[in-house]
Amino acid sequence: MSLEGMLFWVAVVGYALAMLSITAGLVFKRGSVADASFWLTVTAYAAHTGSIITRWISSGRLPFVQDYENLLSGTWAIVLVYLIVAVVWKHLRPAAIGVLPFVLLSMGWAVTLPSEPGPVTPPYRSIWLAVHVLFAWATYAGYTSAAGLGILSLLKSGRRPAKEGSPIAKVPDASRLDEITFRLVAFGFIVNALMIASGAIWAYELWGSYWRWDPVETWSLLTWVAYGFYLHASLTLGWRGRRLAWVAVLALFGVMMAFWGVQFAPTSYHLFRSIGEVPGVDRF
Amino acid sequence: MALVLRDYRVMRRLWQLLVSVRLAAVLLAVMAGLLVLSFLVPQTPIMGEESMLTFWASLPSWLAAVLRLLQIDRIFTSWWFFAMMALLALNLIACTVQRIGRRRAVSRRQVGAVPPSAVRYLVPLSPADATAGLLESERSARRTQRDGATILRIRRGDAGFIGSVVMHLGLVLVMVGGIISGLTTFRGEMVLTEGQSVTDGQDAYLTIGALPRIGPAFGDFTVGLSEMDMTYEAGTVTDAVATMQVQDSAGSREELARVNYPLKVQGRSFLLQESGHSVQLSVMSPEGDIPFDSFLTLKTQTERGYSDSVAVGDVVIRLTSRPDASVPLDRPVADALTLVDPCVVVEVYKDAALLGTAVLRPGQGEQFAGYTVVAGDVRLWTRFLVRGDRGLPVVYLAFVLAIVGTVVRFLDPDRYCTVVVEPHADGAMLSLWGRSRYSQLPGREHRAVLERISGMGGKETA
Repeated sequence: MSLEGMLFWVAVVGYALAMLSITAGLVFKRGSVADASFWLTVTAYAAHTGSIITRWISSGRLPFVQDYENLLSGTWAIVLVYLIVAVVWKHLRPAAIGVLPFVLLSMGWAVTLPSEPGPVTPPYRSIWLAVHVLFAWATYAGYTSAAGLGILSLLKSGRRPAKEGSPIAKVPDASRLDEITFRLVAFGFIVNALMIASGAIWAYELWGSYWRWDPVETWSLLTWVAYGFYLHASLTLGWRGRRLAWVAVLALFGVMMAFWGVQFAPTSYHLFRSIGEVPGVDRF
Repeated sequence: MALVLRDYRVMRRLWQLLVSVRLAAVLLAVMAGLLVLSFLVPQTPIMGEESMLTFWASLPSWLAAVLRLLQIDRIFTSWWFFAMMALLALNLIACTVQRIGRRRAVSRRQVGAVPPSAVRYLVPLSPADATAGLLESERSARRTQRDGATILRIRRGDAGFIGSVVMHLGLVLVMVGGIISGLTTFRGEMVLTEGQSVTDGQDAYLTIGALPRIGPAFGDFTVGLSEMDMTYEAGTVTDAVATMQVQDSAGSREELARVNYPLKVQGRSFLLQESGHSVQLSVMSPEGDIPFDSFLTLKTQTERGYSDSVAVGDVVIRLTSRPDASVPLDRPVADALTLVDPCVVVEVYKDAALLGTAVLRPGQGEQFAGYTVVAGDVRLWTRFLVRGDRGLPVVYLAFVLAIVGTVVRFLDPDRYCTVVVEPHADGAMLSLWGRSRYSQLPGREHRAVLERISGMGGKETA
């Protein structure tokens, strides 16, 4: 197994243990167990970073081209935003309960994909690739952490008050959670708009059309609209607490569809084929 | 009179409906449902008519008929979708305009509903002097009187509000740009062989998918393909560069086109799609005439090379072009678009029976049942997707407005501070309420007002 592969599996195992740890901590109301989850995530993240760096070196380019690379880089960005939130607001570390499942499922899917770096075909030879994909990962990272905080808010505002020593007991109250979640959603909303705009500009130069109602395009737009509704619900309708938290959690479905769902679409312009997989067929 | 009143009420109701956020929520929910539906029902513009035949065949005929009638397979190009988007655009404009007016009135809900976040007593400053002191620095504050007290309402976030307006208008502009695109778009396919030039016009295109409904359909220019240069890596094309010749009112010039970097001429983009082999074929019949003397575009790529057939007289000539004659015929070709030492495999059929086969180098010929077949030059052809869209600058501007507006909106959020100035003992009592979306604690303006109160003189007591 290559160094990249080993680091990848260390990261996966680390995230899985962190997931178990936070779940156990929340279920059995043991704050120390939940704290261990954060440190396991940090360790896994270090391995994850190493995996990306080795990939970058071995392929000689940014790891943004193949589906496997996109999943590797995208999950890295998602965990990065979560760690920033967890470091700045220490008591929000249990938000991992909403973040790590998404990361683990994505990395699990990555394992099933071809991972050998192939030659870069002409559609990927554009600066807009890096721009568009970077904004995409920032978008998904912001929204995923917001969903994690939404889950925390729902747990915090449950029927029974949190027991002392429980990880939820130290989580700030609903209004503070709302505020931080709002900031993450606002960040995600802005970079989502940048992702859509940069994608449209690239699409015109590549496909001759800035918008074709492609499944990935439509789901990205739908996700943006859903989080726009979150912002409106908060600012205009005055929604707070549980109702708003549910919106942050459910809107993540749009992210999942845009991220994974394209695989189930009958066809899509986002299915960039032919990275050396069909020898002798010389398409661009 | 009654009729006039009834009409007024109807108009008023319609206006209230148009400016309601509820209408926007309903329209967006319907749009979300349609997006989900577009995922479940294949869309003809993406799949293509031929691919859709299988889908229609899998459904009961009545259901297929209903879906077609309702244009469920063409959701995003249907008239009712455009009507919905137009209504949404009107709703956005109306809501935005209405909020501009509504924002002038400042919230009255704070005072008395919750305890003040801060109270200051200034002795021996009179309420009038305290009010004047605050108004000196807060000129935009609105002042009202109630039960002997002076209420000052200070509001910030004007830039943020303008950002919100700009952002929503940017969204409307995207839709306008989409309409302009729909009316002015040009879409066509052009195939050029190396060395070939064409003048823009109906005959220059292999197919024309869409003509502009407004503006000229064709431009005044000639475009040609001088050379195609391919780069391979591990059997995959990694770069394709087309050297193009352009002649228009600005003169003649040579430009390079690549995937992601199309040739742009008079608002048209020439996007590289695919390439293949083109063989110069000359056929002389047994009677001595030359029924075929032209380049034949070989479109079908196989492991053996690029192939295609042409019927000439009572025979069918099948050509397979290979990039390197030194590679044995039974081996698949590699790097097919790099012409090293090209050759052409000629197979001649009559009534489905093979008359003969030969491998010809450029310039060589062979006789088949009286027909003389000469293979000339082997060159590359390239298919270009040609697009024109006058709505593009509007859409790009709309993107900028929407994004900049959103950023400004969040950088300068709404912030309120209400100060109630009342007489108290031998001085003034100032009670403060502050509110900001981003914090339950007093915001910047709240603290700034407290500082100003501290600087107004008199003895401040807690």
